[in-house]
Amino acid sequence: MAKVTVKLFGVYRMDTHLAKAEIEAQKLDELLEILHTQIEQKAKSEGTAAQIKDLSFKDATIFINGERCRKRRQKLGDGDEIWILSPASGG
Amino acid sequence: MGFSINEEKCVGCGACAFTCMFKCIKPLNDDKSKYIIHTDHCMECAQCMDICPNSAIEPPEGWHRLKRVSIDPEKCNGCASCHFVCLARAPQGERGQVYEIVQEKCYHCGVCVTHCKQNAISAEYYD
Amino acid sequence: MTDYQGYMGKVLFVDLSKQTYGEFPWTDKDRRRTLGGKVMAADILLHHITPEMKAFDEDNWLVITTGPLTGTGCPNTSRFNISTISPLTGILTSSNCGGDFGLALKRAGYDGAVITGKSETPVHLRITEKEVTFEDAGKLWGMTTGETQKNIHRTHGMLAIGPAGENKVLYACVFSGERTAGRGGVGAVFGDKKLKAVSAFGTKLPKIANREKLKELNVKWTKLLQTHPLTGRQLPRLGTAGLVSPMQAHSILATKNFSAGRYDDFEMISGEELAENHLVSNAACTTCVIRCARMCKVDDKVVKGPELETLGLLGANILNNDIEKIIRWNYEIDELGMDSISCAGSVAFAMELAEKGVHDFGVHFGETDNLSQMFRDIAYREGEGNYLADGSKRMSEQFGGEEYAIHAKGMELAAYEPRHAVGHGLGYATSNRGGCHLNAGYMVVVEGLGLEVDSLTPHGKAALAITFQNLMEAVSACGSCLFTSYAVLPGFLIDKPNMKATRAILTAFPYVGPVVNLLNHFTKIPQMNIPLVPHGYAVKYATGMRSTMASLLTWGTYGYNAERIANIILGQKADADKLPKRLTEELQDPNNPKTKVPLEQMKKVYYRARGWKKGIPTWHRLKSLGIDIDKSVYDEALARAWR
Repeated sequence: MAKVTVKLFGVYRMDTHLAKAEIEAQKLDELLEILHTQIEQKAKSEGTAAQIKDLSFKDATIFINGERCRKRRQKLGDGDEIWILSPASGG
Repeated sequence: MGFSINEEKCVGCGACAFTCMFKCIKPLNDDKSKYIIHTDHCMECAQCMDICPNSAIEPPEGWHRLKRVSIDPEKCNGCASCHFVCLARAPQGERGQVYEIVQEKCYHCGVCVTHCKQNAISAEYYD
Repeated sequence: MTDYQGYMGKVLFVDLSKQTYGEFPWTDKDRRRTLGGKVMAADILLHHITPEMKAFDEDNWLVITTGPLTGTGCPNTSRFNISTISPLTGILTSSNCGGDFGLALKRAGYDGAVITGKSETPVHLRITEKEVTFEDAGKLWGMTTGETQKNIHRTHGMLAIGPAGENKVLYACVFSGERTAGRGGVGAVFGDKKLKAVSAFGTKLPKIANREKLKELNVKWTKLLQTHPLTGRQLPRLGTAGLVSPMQAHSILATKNFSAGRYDDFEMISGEELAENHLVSNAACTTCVIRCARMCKVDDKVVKGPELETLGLLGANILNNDIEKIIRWNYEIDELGMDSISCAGSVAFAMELAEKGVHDFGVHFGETDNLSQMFRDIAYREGEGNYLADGSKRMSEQFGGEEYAIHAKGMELAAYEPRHAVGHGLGYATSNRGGCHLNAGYMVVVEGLGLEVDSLTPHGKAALAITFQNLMEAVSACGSCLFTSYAVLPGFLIDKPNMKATRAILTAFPYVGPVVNLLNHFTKIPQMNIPLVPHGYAVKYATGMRSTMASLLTWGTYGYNAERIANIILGQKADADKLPKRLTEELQDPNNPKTKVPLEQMKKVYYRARGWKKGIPTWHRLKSLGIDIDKSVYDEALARAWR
């Protein structure tokens, strides 16, 4: 089991009101499941569940330790930092 | 009477408030995400409805778009009230003499029609 | 006069020296060729400038233009353009603004205004349907942009400069409400002409060719913008500030004067931080359905908060992690009336020159307490601020450090570090007005931020850059906000970045360059409109003019080439499309040889695809586009560009 830090950005952060979480998981897909449950519970208690799109994070842009990760089964290491982002544009 | 904004359709773009020559459209709330028309000043000129990107503004029941206003030279006494009440100064003339509407200045709000004490200004409408 | 609807049919001409005004000749043939906005302005300036003309000459024109969609009820169409010879770069600048002045100008009955001459004393130009008056602006002179505007009444919209424009800071800007025509120093040209303010008032609205169809389109267009992942979710929730975090992730957040692409403290200056702890409410340009602006608190005032550029360039790029300071500085710079991008870029350069012991301007990386004073010194051209007021190019000419003076053609780069988005680097270098990220074609949106095309490969980037540059030029010419062009990128692709099909399409992207270049060259091919680009339909329904995707691409290509040849006539050299050596020769990541901008390689493909010979449109290309100039003028300019 690896102890990792998850940081949410973009619309994921705005939807869930969650900036950071410390989670123990072996692989990325496990981590996202745990995060999903945590957020669902938090949202239920706050009454905000309906507003959150893509709680499974399957459409999220994910970075691990600053590298883009596309493998859902990616193994995690102690102290890893996971970023969850959404698409953006501007000027 | 007066136009109204469908609150659900209003996207908060502020185009109506910018456009209204009679200053009767204001934000509904502090963050200006919705607007509301204060109907007592509304002259039903439809400029707000024409500039709304989401067709959120509706005319009152039975409203018809004004096509043209004209001054009856027989009835006009040259008092110039229409000239001064018109924001576009479309009625032009000399005091004491018959005034005429300069059509390309007129933006069809109908204020002059209701203000003329001689009932000298008539309005034509689209169907 | 015009046979088309949508336009008001008149362009104003004002002579500030003689205090006279009249009509500028502009025909339907000109409208068909240029549409409006910056393309119209480029055409007007191209046929006016001479090789010796400079920004502060009496006969340098300020050309202010709206688009045909402005005032017609289309969403996001308040945008107007100010073009002139830039005092910062010596070539044309076109500066876009979302404030109310464009709408107001049309209400007064004009599609645009061409201003020449110089006033002897400060003047406020008042434009109404009835007349144009030259009001004494002596009392306004010296006021900030906010104060100036508060003191002008009975208008629908206005333009104002602040102390920076009055003192001809080379990147001074012009304000309209809380929005700004920011880049290239248009405010300095206003200041040089002693034009303190322009205001417009009127009762007119443009007539519409097909009102029913346009209304129907606008409802669909509004829905498209409100449901698209970029324009409907990220921009309203986080503003452009929301870009800081993805830029960090993709290593394109310019840090310490572009010496790195990531900043350790990025979270403290992010859009999330801004939205959660400092946002009072959203704000919008009039007619905008996206509403991305951030209103923040400075002391007890609610003011317009920083955009991405200011957060990045006064944050990561100067190693400042205090977002409250950035919010305050943004307000101060706005009130002084200057471009926060060029200002911040000049400050970062000054900081590096000090760090390297070249010259100490009094500003240093990591120090923030004295920056408010430096911004004032810049605006009033006092002390060391006087050097910074001329921009990083001139500073490097005087003090050295050319390799890390981060500008292109004299205009400072935006906050995107291009060594991890090489197509964007190509865009910065080829952008007509200098280091602009939008004129560049905003390639970062496909190189990681919105879609994830391989950001380090040079393949296909020239083709994509040209398409986006042309399209965004046309969108701007309509009077539309450039953000409406992001809705062109299919939402379903952006929403599903991990899907196999998305990955396949995006992997193939760099290799479809040759196909895209066919479209870039034969702009008249797509003779239809597509729902993702409503602008084509909108122009048709609003004006009655024939308008398709082909028209948009043609207008855009015309504009890009017209500005380019105008710049060559003004003295731009053939090899001007450059980036500082830091970005083309130093690796951002020492372990990855791809992390620098392979500019020369991409330029070759770019020029070939544009029909240019090494940075200059060929005579044949100009003719094929219908750009009409004297052959002798062209030949002289060509000879000079090659010297």
